[in-house]
Amino acid sequence: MTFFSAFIFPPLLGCLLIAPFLQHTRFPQKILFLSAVSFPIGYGACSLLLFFAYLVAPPVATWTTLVAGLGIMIFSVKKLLSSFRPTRLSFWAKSIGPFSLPKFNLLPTVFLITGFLLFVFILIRTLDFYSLTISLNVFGGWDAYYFWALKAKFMFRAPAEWQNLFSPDLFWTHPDYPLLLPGSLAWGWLWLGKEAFLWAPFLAIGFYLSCAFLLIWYLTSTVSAFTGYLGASFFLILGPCFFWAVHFYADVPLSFFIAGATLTAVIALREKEEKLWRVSGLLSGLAAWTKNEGILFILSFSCLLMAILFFEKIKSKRQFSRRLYCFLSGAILPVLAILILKTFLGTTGDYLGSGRTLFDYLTLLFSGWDRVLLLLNAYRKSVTSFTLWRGLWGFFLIAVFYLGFRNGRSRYKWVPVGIFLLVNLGYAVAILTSPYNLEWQIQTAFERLLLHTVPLVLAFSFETLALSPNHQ
Amino acid sequence: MLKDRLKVERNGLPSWTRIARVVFYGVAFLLVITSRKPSAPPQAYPLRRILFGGHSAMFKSPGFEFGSLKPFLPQTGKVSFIMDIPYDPHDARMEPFCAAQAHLAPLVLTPFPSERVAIINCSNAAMAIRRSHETNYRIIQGPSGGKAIAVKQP
Repeated sequence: MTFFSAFIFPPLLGCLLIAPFLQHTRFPQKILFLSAVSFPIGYGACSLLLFFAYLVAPPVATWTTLVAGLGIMIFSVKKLLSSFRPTRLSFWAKSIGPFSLPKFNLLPTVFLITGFLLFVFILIRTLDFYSLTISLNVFGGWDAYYFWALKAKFMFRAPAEWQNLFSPDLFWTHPDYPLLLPGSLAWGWLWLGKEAFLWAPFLAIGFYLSCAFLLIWYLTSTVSAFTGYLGASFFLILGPCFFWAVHFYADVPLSFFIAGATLTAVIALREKEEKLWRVSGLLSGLAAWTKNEGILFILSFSCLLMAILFFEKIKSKRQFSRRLYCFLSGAILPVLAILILKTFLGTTGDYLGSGRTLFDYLTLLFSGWDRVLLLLNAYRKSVTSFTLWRGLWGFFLIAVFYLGFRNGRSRYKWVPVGIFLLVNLGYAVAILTSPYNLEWQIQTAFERLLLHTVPLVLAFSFETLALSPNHQ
Repeated sequence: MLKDRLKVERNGLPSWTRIARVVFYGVAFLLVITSRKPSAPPQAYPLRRILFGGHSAMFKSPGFEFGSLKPFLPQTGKVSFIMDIPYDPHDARMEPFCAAQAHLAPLVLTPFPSERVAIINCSNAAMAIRRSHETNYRIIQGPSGGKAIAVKQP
């Protein structure tokens, strides 16, 4: 019962947190979207609440988090009910009219069933292999156990002295890392009253499957349900995504938030719905709350959105500032948490707080073409590996060329490509200016950095290359 | 009739694009259906039965071997961690340090011989005694299997 309630509370919180922003909008496939984002947003919200509760009153943090969570839920339900329009019922009653069965089309139905069965087959196989793999190493990889779980242990074992997790005396644990994953782990342990080691595998598979559900939602909304199931199945067969999920690293959750924020923004731009910018802002903020790379993402994303909104044919300045306000208000809490963490708690890091000057960075950045070539070679080697990516980057390249030749600017399809380029350019600069050995950095981190944009790249490629709904 | 058909064709996608898209679906479907997960080692099956059968006590977390030192250590604060060799973050032999930190948190371990109390974790008892002398510590518990608790000498 306790495990069940710990499992159900955050997704319910996530669902109720988002639902009011989708109400009375033209947002497509709301149920599918909620099924994809409830789990990550719920755990993101729980980790944020726990962080703020620890800042204010560590000894009663668990109860504060619970009460705050319940308060948000009640407020959301009240908001949903208060703006519920009963006239909608008569609208539906009118539109249904005299009961009639929908027109049966054989081909789309066959495709839908095939896609669904394919996804279920791949999902069962993935879950089976996941359970076998975690049985061999239930504590996860190095970062999972020695960074993320260690931070969670400080929060769980000694609430009064939880700030020791930021101690610069803790070697090789990155005191400046954001706390979405440790917070989610600690939240579960506090709820269960013990360091249940199955909690980390549970969180990891939750985030991993959320990526697949996000692809189902987006591709079903923009192309067809068959494409959604095919895209999600394709994601589940990608080796690196599974590998880093099974090691409980924070890279899969980050890739979810990057894809979620970007795809929601694309829908917000297409549907011209202001309220959706809040959802995109919240997902971007949670990306920053997951990993330092997420901070780079939110900066790139904000710049890109500002440029889009600026060059868009927006009727008034008020409309521009209104959209920007919605985006920022969605991101405010996670960004505030990051600012508190970086300014007052984890003040030392590899980049910010490293004591290096701008000259040091520039020296490293322009210290020779051989380093740049080494990095480019790593990109080439990785993206051309069929074993790793099953031809995903080939699809991506074709989709980019196709988009360039045909209606490149239509329906904001290019936004994911822009994010991919900006984020990876930022990563390239970060790798080149890393204080560690470049080869070691490429060996240990490169594949994970590439993984961050994989669900986004997959959604873009499948949307661009698949048949549009009018031609199925 | 033909006029209508031509109109539809003009408004629709060129046929080569449509063929290319059908090919894309075919290729993606084939890639998914022909994918294989690597086979799990045979020991994974009994381990899974144990893990999900509620016998999780059999799974020992990294650093559990330092649990026996806990009664002799302070609850919180900082403690030094001395090994055979001085600390180097890129050396794989440093893993016991990370494992001990993970197991003994909220105690903060430092790899330098600077704290009043130290955990000595060496490959054998002789090495533990040697390292305690080198770092100016006096062993008060152990050494047992190369592990000991020591205090800083004035």
